[in-house]
Amino acid sequence: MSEIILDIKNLGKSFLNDSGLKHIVLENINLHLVVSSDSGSIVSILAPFGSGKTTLLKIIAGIEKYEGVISLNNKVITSPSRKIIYIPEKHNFLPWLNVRQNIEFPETISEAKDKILSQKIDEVIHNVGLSGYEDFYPSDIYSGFQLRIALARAILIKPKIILMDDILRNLDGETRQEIVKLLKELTSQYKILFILSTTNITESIQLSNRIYLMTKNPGRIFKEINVFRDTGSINSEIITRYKDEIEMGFKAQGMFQPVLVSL
Amino acid sequence: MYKLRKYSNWVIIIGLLLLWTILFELILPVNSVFPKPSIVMQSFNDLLNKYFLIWNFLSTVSAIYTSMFISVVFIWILFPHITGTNFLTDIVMSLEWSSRYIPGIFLSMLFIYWFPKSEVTKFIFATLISFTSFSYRAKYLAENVPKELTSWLPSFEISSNQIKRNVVWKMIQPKLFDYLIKQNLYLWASVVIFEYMNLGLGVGTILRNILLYNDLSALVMMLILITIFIYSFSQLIKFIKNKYYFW
Repeated sequence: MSEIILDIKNLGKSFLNDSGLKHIVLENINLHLVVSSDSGSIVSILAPFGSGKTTLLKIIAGIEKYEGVISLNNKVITSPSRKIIYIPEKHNFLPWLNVRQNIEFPETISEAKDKILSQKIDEVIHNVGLSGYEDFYPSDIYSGFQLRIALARAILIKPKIILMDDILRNLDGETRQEIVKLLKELTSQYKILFILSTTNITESIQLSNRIYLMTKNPGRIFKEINVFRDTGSINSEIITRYKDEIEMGFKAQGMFQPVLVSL
Repeated sequence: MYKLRKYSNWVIIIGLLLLWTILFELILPVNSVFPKPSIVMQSFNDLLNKYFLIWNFLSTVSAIYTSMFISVVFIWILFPHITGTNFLTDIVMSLEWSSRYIPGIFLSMLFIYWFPKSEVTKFIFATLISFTSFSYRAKYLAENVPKELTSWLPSFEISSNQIKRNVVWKMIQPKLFDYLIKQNLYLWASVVIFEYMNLGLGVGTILRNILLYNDLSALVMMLILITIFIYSFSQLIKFIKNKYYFW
């Protein structure tokens, strides 16, 4: 049985601000994730705004420089790799391309050797629920469908990890539930490890198998919660129990209104 | 609060032309302020025969549009470098900064002093002005493309140069087209002033001769011709932009 092993040791990130003072964004982040690549998983990083979640995801994607060591399956990450795909919160659609062209775009300009065959694109479009919308332009479809484009684009190249930067934040309740369902389907279908950064407690409980709680100034992971589902689904009683545990965790760190609570 | 305009630009312009016709053709046909329309129309023949309008106009138009075309091609080729931080962008930024305080007319004077009556110098002068302002604009627009639009691409192992060529360049094209309209007017002014001083071929030389001969009707006719040309170019650019650059 193969595994996806993401190992983060003593990760830190700092920069000099305009006054020449050192500002620490992330400090001493340690994380050891082992996920079976036969099942996939969804993991959330739950933290308030401005805690460095985006920076952390970009570092894992190899887009930003960092101090410490990050490795995927024992291979140190120093530059971007098609094994880890980053999806930003917004604005990642090219307005002059239609849905299909947007999904294909990274492949059309990529110099990577393992390019995707076009018939695979149809399959992915179908699996993310974009069939019939191939010729639409991003401006003509609503934000939930735009997110499906980003997911299709990422899934197409079969990465091991997809990093999603607070992607559900700007969606309405109904669309958010649709995407939550879709993410679960895609996890079992493509056996990918999804790492979601979020500010929303309920969202993280509903979606994730594991939740990492993170402080602000500097960003530091202080607690790991495994979400157990007996029947696969999760009811309001379980949500309340985990919510209480999470809120207690943040309060213990001196953070009383850390994150959004409800969907 | 913004008030809706009651009359369009065309209605006002046609009204002014009618007023001009009525006032100077019928009421005040003889005056030293403004020529009557029929005389202005007749002066077109003078412009063709006495002022060699076609060759001079072609010289100006080719200097302006060739330099504009060359600049756009060079900016397209050099785009990844223009948007980076290097020696080339330092030069462009310095030239642009200097042009805010040193009028371009001094540069044209130096060019004319070094190479009097040279047509090639006119092309170089126009290209230099066009390239500097275009590349500065392209750099500015590229820096203002939302970072989210490109931040995800490196994780697909797409290089910075490819991102600049395939995403940033494409993204700024509609605004660069808008800038062509401004650039057109600016280049016309610069080149005509250059020609006015240089006395070689060009619309600037025609204007200098017109003033020398106190030919008011030819002056008005030239003004009409230049306006029509600049307006037509602007409309062509707007048409291309609306047809092909909808984002």
